[in-house]
Amino acid sequence: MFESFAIHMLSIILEAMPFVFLGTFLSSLIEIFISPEKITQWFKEKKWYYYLLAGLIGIVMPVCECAIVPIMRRLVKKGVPIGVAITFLLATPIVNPVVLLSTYYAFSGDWAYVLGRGGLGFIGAVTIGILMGKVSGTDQVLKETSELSCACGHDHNHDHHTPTFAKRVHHILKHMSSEFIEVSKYLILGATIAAIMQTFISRQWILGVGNNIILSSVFMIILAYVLSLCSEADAFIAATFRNLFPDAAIMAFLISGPMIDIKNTLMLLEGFKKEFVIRLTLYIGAFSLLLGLIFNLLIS
Amino acid sequence: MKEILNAMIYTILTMLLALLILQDKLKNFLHPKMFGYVFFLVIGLLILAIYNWYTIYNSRKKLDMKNCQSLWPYMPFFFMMLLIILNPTNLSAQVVENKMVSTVRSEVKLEENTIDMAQDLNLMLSESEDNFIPWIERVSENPHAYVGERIVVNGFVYKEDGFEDDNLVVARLLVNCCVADSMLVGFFVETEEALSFQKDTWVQVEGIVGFEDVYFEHLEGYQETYVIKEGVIREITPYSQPYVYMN
Repeated sequence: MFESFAIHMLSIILEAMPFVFLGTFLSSLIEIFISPEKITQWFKEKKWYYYLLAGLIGIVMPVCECAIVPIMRRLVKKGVPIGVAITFLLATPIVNPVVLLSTYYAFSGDWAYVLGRGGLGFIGAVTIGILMGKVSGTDQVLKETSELSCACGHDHNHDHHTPTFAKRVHHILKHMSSEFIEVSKYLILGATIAAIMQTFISRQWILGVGNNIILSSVFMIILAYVLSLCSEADAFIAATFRNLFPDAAIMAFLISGPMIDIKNTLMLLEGFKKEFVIRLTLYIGAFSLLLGLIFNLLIS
Repeated sequence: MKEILNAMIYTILTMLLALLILQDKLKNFLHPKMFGYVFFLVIGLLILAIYNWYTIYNSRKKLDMKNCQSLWPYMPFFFMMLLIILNPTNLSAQVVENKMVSTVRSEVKLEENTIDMAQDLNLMLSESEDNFIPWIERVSENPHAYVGERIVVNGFVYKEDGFEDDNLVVARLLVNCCVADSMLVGFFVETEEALSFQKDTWVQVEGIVGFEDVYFEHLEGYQETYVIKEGVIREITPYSQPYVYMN
């Protein structure tokens, strides 16, 4: 059993770590090249379409949920409104074309699932972003660290505004060195928990949940959370439940999985306050349930 | 201390991942399509390792080697490295059973992008080759086109409660991205020899394919399923690992 646990854990880490690395690289570029003043200037007026744009970025920026967390954390620390950043965090791993294409194949070309996942996932991400933006301010969600402007954990004697190429490369590598270690340790912890679940959750136990639409939907949301599957592959797993659970439960799994799971929760906890992460997780769970039920109504 | 630990983590991680690539062990964890990303990661980690040692070498600060409390945040990395060194290779049968099972059914297509339907339907694959994925791809795309064909597939025996005495599934673990998201995929087999073969035995099954209503206990009902009928089974040497990879 321990060998199986080790294989599951390492496979999750090896799959996710390159994207976490990419995320920390992009995060470091944002840190070095985009000043907080510039962000403040961009977002000085509240515009409703910021949420729509944040929700659609994934179409042209196909990154999965592992890469998105470091980027989102950096954007919030730079001053992007928290609601817009959350919409970006939640929508990007769902509306990205690779995820939708894998959903298409997994569900044998059933467009209802592809459009339902993309469309309802987008609506859910925008709604949760707006709601979270209303109840949370940026200063209330970030952990109170002394490195609030940077939060990379290293000393800040350097000058971010230095123009030379060599200095910039030096700062990027310095940020990446710290941030990759910080984020990856939570990725490893998350993968450990997910691997324990994958190793010990029995299929008979899963099948025992039954066909109740609410119960099975809640179960599938929890399952998506603990299994921590990559959003580019989770549709194939969801498809195997198609004959066992109602469509609502399958859609709830497809929407909630890319938005939040164990490893993402732990990576978020590294930069954000516990209350904020718990509230976000509960909102995602509730909206995934609701959107699953709406999907059920639409296709029945 | 922190600088040294960072440099060590990046160096050891680079070496361990490079070894996984060089010894062709990544396939125990990932679909080959993901190998390129790990290669990219190794290059990135190598750059960070070199950068960290370079900054330590050039640092004017005296390194604090006494602060052992700072070791704790690195424990997840040590644990991960230990697991890589232990070199896990085999999933236990019990864990494999926990995976969801997918057999080819009349209304279910597992994937459909890899088939050239202009291919000769009577094309028979060499029995010495591993024919599992080509057959799964063919029948998943158009199950009815192959009814009555002779099929030869290799895999391990899978059985579950509720199977008749003459039923078994010849299965493989289909990996989409990584082993954590793998699922059991197989052909239902109807043969009088079924009782002679225990779960997890590696076998080659040869028979004629067709459809039949099969009772699945977990579905609490019958389902029209693709079945290898009049199956002739022989035990084969187990494969080094049970995975097949989705194209």
